[in-house]
Amino acid sequence: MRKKKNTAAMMTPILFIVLEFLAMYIIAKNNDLQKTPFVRSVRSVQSAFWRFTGNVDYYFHLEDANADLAGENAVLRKEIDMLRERLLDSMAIAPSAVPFSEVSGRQTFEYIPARIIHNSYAYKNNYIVLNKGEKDGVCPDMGVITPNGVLGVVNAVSENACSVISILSNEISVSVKLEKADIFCIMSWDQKSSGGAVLVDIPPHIPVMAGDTVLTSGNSSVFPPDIPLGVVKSSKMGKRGFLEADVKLFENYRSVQFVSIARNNLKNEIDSLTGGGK
Amino acid sequence: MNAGKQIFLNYLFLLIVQTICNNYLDLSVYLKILVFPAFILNFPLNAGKPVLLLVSFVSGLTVDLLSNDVMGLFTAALLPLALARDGILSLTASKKSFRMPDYYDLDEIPQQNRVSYYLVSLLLFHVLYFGIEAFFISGGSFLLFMARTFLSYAVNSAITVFSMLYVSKHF
Repeated sequence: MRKKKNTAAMMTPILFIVLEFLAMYIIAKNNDLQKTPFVRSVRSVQSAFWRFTGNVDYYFHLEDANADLAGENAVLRKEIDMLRERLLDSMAIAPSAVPFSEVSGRQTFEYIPARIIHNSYAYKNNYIVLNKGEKDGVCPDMGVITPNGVLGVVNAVSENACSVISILSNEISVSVKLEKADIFCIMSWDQKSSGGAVLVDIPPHIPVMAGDTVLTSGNSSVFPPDIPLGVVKSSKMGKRGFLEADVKLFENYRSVQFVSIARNNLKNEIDSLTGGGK
Repeated sequence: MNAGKQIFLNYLFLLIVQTICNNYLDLSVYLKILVFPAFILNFPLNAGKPVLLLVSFVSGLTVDLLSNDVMGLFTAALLPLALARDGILSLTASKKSFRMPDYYDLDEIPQQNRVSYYLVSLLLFHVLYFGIEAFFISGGSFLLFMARTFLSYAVNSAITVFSMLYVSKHF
């Protein structure tokens, strides 16, 4: 009896260390594990459930969604008119310089419209599930954009759904540029609210003005360039001798429902030249 | 109802509540509802430590799997709680009222000691959970870690203590 108790006492610390190590290993391999068949099957079941609850939620938010879509349509229509005018102007100056077919044939990004079926925005690492998957041509590492910014990067894909690492997460940062200051820098979530972000590593001699617009830089193959993300609220000197700026994001991540998954047709080409980096 | 069935029902109930909280309750960056540790805290006291560790590992993994958060985080914080559980119970219960292994039922421990046991255990769990998240997974400021830990701790302790002492009596 005593011997049995001693064995259990000896086994406990060893078992604890083994299990804790295993848990830490799972944390470290989180992204790889999300792609394993077992976790993918669990996520498929979950996404079916979320699809149902998402549909119920969607029904009750139809009015807001329609208003958002109408607003976005108006902006897009205006943009189309403006681009058409510019194109006509340029064709008037040099009619044979750039044929229209050639302009449209060079499209780098294609967009897959999707709807959010599960959203989280209040945790330290937030994940979102969309209703488009492998069947629709979604692949990991594709960027996801919203009407007023970017949502995140596709992390794992099942047949009919995909999981996205939100921009409201410490796991990703976005390469951005400041419109007026004309400088490239990195933007990441400020971890305080769903509407705030920080710009880091801005050289101290760059005048960063409050109100300057933050746009995607187009330096990565994930997001298209020139998507407005937010405005600079304030800037201060950081600990490492570089400037840091607080940003107010345009997108309301609590209520966004419709997004577009950006497929970069040149991604493989760009990755082969840059060594596969995002 | 036999003990095994009761334990399984406890597990199932807390797993469902925790999964709903994780997936549908986005209250604030500073507040995360964590009720599942109550399962380990209420697990029979006469269970051996190896059994408790294995139960913590498996149950923690199921919470992780269903939470759509970083996998393994909940498990990593739950295991030390399982290891320290009996020690915390010995510390928080007065020697007169509690002498291991004389008591095998939490209900026999005076209410005041039981509350202390929950509060100390949950403090340990919250510090570990938010500590691992802040310093091992994503890196973050110490102030944010403190704010998240103590706000969540206050709310979760209130929920756990209230439900364990008052609500569970009626079921």
